[in-house]
Amino acid sequence: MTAFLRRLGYWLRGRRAADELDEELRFHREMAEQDMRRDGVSASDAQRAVRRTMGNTTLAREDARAEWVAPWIDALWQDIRHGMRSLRRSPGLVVVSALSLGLGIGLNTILFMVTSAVYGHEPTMVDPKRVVGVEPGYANQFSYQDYRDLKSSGIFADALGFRAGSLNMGTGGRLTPTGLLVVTANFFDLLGVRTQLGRTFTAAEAAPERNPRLAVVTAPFWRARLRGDATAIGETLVMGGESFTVVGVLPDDNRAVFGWIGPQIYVPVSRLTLPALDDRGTPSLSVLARLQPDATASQALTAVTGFVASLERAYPERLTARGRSARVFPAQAMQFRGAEMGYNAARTLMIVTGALVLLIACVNVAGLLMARATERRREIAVRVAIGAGRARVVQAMLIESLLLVMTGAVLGLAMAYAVNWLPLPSEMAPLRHFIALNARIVSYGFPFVLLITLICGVLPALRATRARVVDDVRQSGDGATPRTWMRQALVVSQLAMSLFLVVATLLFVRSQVQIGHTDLGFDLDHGIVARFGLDQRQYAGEARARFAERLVERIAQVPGISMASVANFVPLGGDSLLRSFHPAGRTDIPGTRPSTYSVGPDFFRALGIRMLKGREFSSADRTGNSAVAIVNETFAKTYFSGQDMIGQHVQTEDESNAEVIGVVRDHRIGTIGEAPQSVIYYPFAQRPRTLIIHARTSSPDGLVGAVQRAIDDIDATVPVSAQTLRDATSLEMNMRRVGTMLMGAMGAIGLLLAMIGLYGVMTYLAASRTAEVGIRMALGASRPRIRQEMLLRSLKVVARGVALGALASLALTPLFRTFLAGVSPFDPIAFVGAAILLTMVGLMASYIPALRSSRLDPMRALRQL
Amino acid sequence: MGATNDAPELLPGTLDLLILRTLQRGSMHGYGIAQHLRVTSEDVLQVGESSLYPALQRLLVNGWITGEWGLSDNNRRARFYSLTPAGRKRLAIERKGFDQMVLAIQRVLET
Repeated sequence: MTAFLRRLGYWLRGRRAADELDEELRFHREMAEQDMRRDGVSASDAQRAVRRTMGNTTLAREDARAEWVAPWIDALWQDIRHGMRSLRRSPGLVVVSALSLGLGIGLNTILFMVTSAVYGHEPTMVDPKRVVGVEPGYANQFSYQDYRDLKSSGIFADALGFRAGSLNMGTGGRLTPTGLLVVTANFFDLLGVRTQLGRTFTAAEAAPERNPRLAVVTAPFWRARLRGDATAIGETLVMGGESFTVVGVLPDDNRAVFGWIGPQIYVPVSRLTLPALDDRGTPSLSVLARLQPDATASQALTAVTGFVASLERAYPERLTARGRSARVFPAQAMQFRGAEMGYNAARTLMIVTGALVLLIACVNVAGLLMARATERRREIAVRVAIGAGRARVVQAMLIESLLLVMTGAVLGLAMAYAVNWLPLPSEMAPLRHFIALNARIVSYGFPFVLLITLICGVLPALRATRARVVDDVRQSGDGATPRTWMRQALVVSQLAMSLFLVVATLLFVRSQVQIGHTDLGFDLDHGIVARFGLDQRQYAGEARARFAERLVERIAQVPGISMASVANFVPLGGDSLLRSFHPAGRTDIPGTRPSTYSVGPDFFRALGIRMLKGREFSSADRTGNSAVAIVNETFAKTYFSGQDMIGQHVQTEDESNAEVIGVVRDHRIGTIGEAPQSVIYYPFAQRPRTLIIHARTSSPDGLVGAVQRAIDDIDATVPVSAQTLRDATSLEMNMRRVGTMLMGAMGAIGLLLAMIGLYGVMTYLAASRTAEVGIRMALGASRPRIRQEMLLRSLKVVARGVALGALASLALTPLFRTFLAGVSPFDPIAFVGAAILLTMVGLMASYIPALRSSRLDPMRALRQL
Repeated sequence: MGATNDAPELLPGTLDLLILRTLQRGSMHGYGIAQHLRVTSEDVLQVGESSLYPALQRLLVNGWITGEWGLSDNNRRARFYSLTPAGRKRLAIERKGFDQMVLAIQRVLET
């Protein structure tokens, strides 16, 4: 090892070490001459004699150098310099392949950054391997009392509890619901989380009995709301009517215990923040625990199971095990409970398209290098002929590929780095800090660079060095040789992949355009939405229905507002709910799950949803009067096909029988691309739930403030946030836009890469037919005819690629169905459009090589024979 | 790197041993080592620079000797080599190995 370091030292000192060696050798020689002259030999004789006895000086120097520099390093260095020189002579190749690979690598780096930010979320904690999530089995959370018992049971070194919640925070005289995490006093200590400013709360001061009014905030909140300076410490936040003092600010890179959309504020558990503190029967805290120093997770699980059993014995009246057993799981798994599935489709899509783009880029560069190898056949043949081993020539060519790939990688990383300045939609803003180019990503990428080098370089290198010198010089480039066949297969597959990307892009773009014209079934542009953050005790039951009536009445009076109503959801606002359902008396329909919603009088008119039959709810449809319901078109078609809906009775699992009084048109509820789903609407007055006020107006943007003030007139203390209907649905819209932009980028890149690839292969084909073209021109073939033939030939390759791609796309596009709105996955416009586009691009790419070969000087071409 | 021109009369590896042994007497420059070898072997061992200097580099890289620039008897700049503790140990090992080898060869020749 030390010998290695010394070697490295010599190598780094390079020039100087070599000079020193030279000086030593010179000294040696002079001393020898001097001695000889002293013995009476003449100066010139002495010199000659010394030279004779000393042997080959250059070889001596080389041998001595070889002692400290392994010869292969020298050879490698030589190849690198040679590679750089020869690449400098073909700037076109460098630019084209750097662009190809840069796009491919950049795109994949960005995808990797995004996916690793979303899926690779690692909550900030010290020694995470020793921290586990704990669930008691009777629920997935512990009640505070049970948590206390667990903590003191000694099963774990320590345990913490937390609960995501929302308190209404006063800002500028208004209350807004604010996401926060209610945590046990030891939360930060157990995780080992530190602050960047101020401190975390200590276990003593944050004990629940003292009703601690302390808060630790995240860095983004601190910047956005607390000026981002040191005076934030000591600042008071009014939440839920109580004042909390900010004691600390978490670091920027702090990552919440459950997923990337973390809470903004951390407050200690107490009666202020966790009303169910004393109720052993209400599970309210998610629990993370640190294992005892020598304990394993499975030992802990055994202990927890026993612990829960003892709880069940001690409090038999309220604990029902429901057949689930306790669980102990890795802390990171906390974030994925429940929401895991939704992301997977998008992730697969990203990975597949990313890999395709990269593969296309690789095939491109491989194609270019092959073409280059063809042009350099003579040079390579000469190198082999004068004794370079095949391995050495392959090494030299691989080094060249590596240099190309590295150039591309640098470009790609620069591209990925630039993403930091790209605006993100606000929903993704929490990701901003984590979508960053870091050493981890670069180090993950390096093996890929090597892999890409191999993919791009090995085939051309092996091809080129199959040293059949005579053949190579004489090769007349017959189109049917297996090697040309292989090249064409590469290009065909590349074209096919590109076609798929282009088809996918067109589908997404068409879908995006379609959304502009899509009939959502409701009027997106003339609504204002006010969401109330009421908890279960505020305006409960009947009081809520009356509160809603007063609000609706007041808001309807606001000048400019034509109509107002109430509902428990916003279409496309992320409120969809699923309930199981039975038509009254019919429990035989399995798995039918229409959504049920509560809406007030005039709701459908307020949202521009047309009634097809019957009437809307009226103010008479309230508690005490007969239970009624309105269903949508799809519901009627699905369950009561061909019958008159009015007067039918429906019944859901947890609701009583209701008579259908109306049928409305379908409208989009969850996503724009969704298939129409069955819905039952109940009168809000009969089933008050989450309170959302809808107002209709011709100018929503200007009236949001007025609506807010009208609500203040009724009750200025309730937390509420008003926005236009369009803003309220922006998550769905934005996600779609981002998705379309991403796909569009991929399609454009795919098309560009296909063009480059085709250009490469056509150049190669043209080059390999130089001799043939020369002969034919000498025999009288006209230039246009040669050009035509070349173009026809590439058209054939393109046609094969397009056909193959179309077949593959037919098989693959149904995967996108959930992302496409109003467009069939087999949309002929997208398919035909992609085929035409790719063919045109293909012909453009072939034109220059075709032109070039038709302008050949026949004499020069023939001389190459 | 192709052919080398090691002194043909030397057994492989013995040059290292001889250099180490020579340096045991004190630090010496390359030419001095060559002279010493020639004189003490009564002109039998004529070590050329093409085998001497690679050997010296090899010993340097292995950390058995160190080289320092100084002035020769005739006031010329020259690199003086001296043994390191590791070199001393190496000398003992090589010497033992060489003795065994010689013994072994003799045994074979005498039968």
